[in-house]
Formats: sequence, structure tokens, C-alpha cells
Amino acid sequence: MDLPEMDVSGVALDDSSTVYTTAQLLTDLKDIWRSERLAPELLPHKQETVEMLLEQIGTVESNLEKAKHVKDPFFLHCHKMEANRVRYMLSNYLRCRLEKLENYALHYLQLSAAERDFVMTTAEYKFLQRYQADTEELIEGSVRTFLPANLAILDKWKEAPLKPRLESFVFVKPREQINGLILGASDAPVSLEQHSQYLLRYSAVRKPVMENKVILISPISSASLQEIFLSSLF
Amino acid sequence: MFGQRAAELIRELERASDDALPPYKAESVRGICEEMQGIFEANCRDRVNLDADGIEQATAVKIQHAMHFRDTAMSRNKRCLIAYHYNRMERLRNLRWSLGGIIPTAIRQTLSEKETEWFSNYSKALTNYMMDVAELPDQDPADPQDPVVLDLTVHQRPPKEYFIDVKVLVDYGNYETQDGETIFLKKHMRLCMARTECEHLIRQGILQHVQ
Repeated sequence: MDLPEMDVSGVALDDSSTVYTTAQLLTDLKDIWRSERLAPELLPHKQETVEMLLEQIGTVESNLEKAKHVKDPFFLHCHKMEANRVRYMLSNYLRCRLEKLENYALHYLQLSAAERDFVMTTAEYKFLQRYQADTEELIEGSVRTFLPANLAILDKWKEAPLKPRLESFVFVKPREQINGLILGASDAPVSLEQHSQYLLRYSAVRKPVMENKVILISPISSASLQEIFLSSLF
Repeated sequence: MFGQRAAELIRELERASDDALPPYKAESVRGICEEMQGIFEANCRDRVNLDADGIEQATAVKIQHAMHFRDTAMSRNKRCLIAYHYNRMERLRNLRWSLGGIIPTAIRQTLSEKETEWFSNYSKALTNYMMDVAELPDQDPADPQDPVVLDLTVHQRPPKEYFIDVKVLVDYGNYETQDGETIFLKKHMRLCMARTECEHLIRQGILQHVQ
């Protein structure tokens, strides 16, 4: 069955030099989403990808709306479901970024302007500023009235902000061969082969992850580990 | 003993299960603040004593030690107060994500005034963020379109199926779906609804997902 007036796949977005297809955008989204979820710190923002995908969702959904009365409902639902999946991935990706910003709010507010523009969008920065101001107001405001006016309350808290744990271990998969990676101060540089997997400190692969040359992959979950363990017992 | 009430405050919060929000202990918080006020005043007094002329060496050392001890107690109290408020705030934040912008009355009673204020501010910040992310389509004057808004709180579970079977748990009344149709939700009803429609109703405990 064909869908004549519904153009939902492979839409070229604009006529400029870089043309993205929906499929390519989705692959990109999957990669950045996975890396974001597994990385201990905030990765560089991908505002363009997010914007383009939202535009695509808008197009698809308005097409579906128009086709509402003529189409076979089954196909409509399939497409709606697909749109919802993309919405889920996008929401989860953005939510994950917000969570990191919230947890390390003080740390991310201390970044220089250049670093900030690299890792977060203006909208995210606005949210972060507001969140931190509200939180300080909550903590300080709750006790301020009972304490002497010239007693600093949040001084120690602000001196030692919580930082992302860059030393935690991650599973990585290079997208291309990476040479001359230095793992420890005393070790010789190593190379990471394409199509293989490694367990490394995040700090060692931080740069290639940010450049999207290495993607993070999820380790075997503890639930499935348990399953393996139990099946070996019986 | 210094710091005892503060430790008790933290312990009580810790004892409550992870996502529960026990009633705000305004009384304890005020008690700790009074203790801190006492410490602050005692230290101010000692500071003056220390600066007084003709003070003996032995007395000065004693005063310095007492001040140092009080200062440590002060830092500890401060730290406990911050931890208490911060951890409650984190739980409140989780509630915003699971229940939406309106706090049920049962929970509202456990919050302090400042926390209620924080909650509405957080909701506003979140809405602003979602509006900033929303994509405005190229406006065609003949056919105005709504911006594509991504409600981050709706899509919290991976969608595996478009329709799901749900059971109505409470007498809710009329509910308007996204298509503009109205359904009457009555207790014990079984329905097959689009997942996006009922996700927030499930989280509010109005519907139950039946496998």
C-alpha cells in the first residue's frame, strides 16, 4: 500500500550544502543520546540536530493530521507511533542533560563563557541560572530569618561544588582508529581499533567522545548478569 | 551537645524511604538556628575578650580553643541544614517529574512555604525551557501552525505500543482527548487508549496500565 500525499521519509530539509535525511538525523540522535546517557559529564550540545528533528516531527505530525480522514487508521498509527518514538528519544536526551545540569549546577555555572557555549545551549544556560538562584533562595531563605544577618550560610557549600566524576569507567567503541591515546602518566600511548570495544577511564577518552569519534556503549546490565549467574548455578 | 539536633534532622530524613517526603521539621530547623545564633554570639563575645588589653597568655589560648570548637560546631550545623533542605528539594524535584505541575494536597501539607515557592518556580523554569526548545514552523499566514512543543514530562517511558489497555481507578468524569473527543471515565471501566493520552493520567493514579 502506498501513501501518496504523506511524505514522511527521507525528507531533505533545506537546499544548503549539507543535506540531512531523516534517517541520518535519527542515527545521529541515537548516537548522541546514548553517549549523553552514559557519559558522566555534559557533552557538547547538538542544538542543530535537535531543531531539525523537531521540525521533522512537526512536518510528519501535520501531515498525519491532514491525512486523518482519508487514511487507513493502521498506517496512521504506525506513523504516529514512529513520531512518538522520536519524541521519546529527544525528550529523554534533553531530560538527561537537564538532570546533569541540575546535579552539578554550581560547577557548570563556573565555566568560562567559551566553554559554556560549547557544552550548553542558551536555553539550558537560562534554565541552569534560574534553577541555581531558586535553590539558593530555598536553602538560604528557609533559615535566614532565624540567624544573624552577617552570618554567611552557603559559603562552604559554594566553595566545593559537586563535580562530574571524570575518573569513572566507561565502555567505549571507536568509530574510527584512534592513535596516541595516553591512558596514564607513566603508560605508553595506545591505539584504539575501529569495531572493537574497550573499558577505559572516561577522562582518557574525553576528547574523542566530545568530538564524537568514540561512542559510549552500555555495559551488560546487572539484571542480565544476575541471570547469567543464576543459569550457571542450576 | 552541639550538632545533635542537626544530626537527628538528617537521620530522620534518611530513615524515610527514598522518594517519600516527610513533613517539614520547622521546629527542629528553628532549634538548630537558635543553637547557631548562640554560637555566633558566644564567639563574638570571646573575640572582644581576646582583643582586650592585658589578657593572660593561658586564658587567651583557652579562649582560642573554645572559639575553634564552636566554629567547627557551626560549620557542621550549617552543613546539616544545607543537606536537609537540598535533599528535600531533590525529592520535590522528582515529584515534579512524576506528578506534574500540581502538588496533591496530602503532599502540600508536608512542605514549607519556601518549598512550595521553589516548586512553582521550578515548574516555571521548566516550562520556559520547553518553550525555548519548541520549534516554530515557518509561518504561513493562510494556515497558522502551532509550534512543535516537546513536553519532556510526557515521554518518560519508551513507547512500545501505540495503544495500551487501561483500567480506570477513580470516578474522574469527562476527559477530553487530543482529538477533541470527550470520554467519560468511570471507576472500573476498561479502555484501550493511545499511550500519549493516558501517560500522565497513569502517573496521577487515575488510570492503571493492565498488561
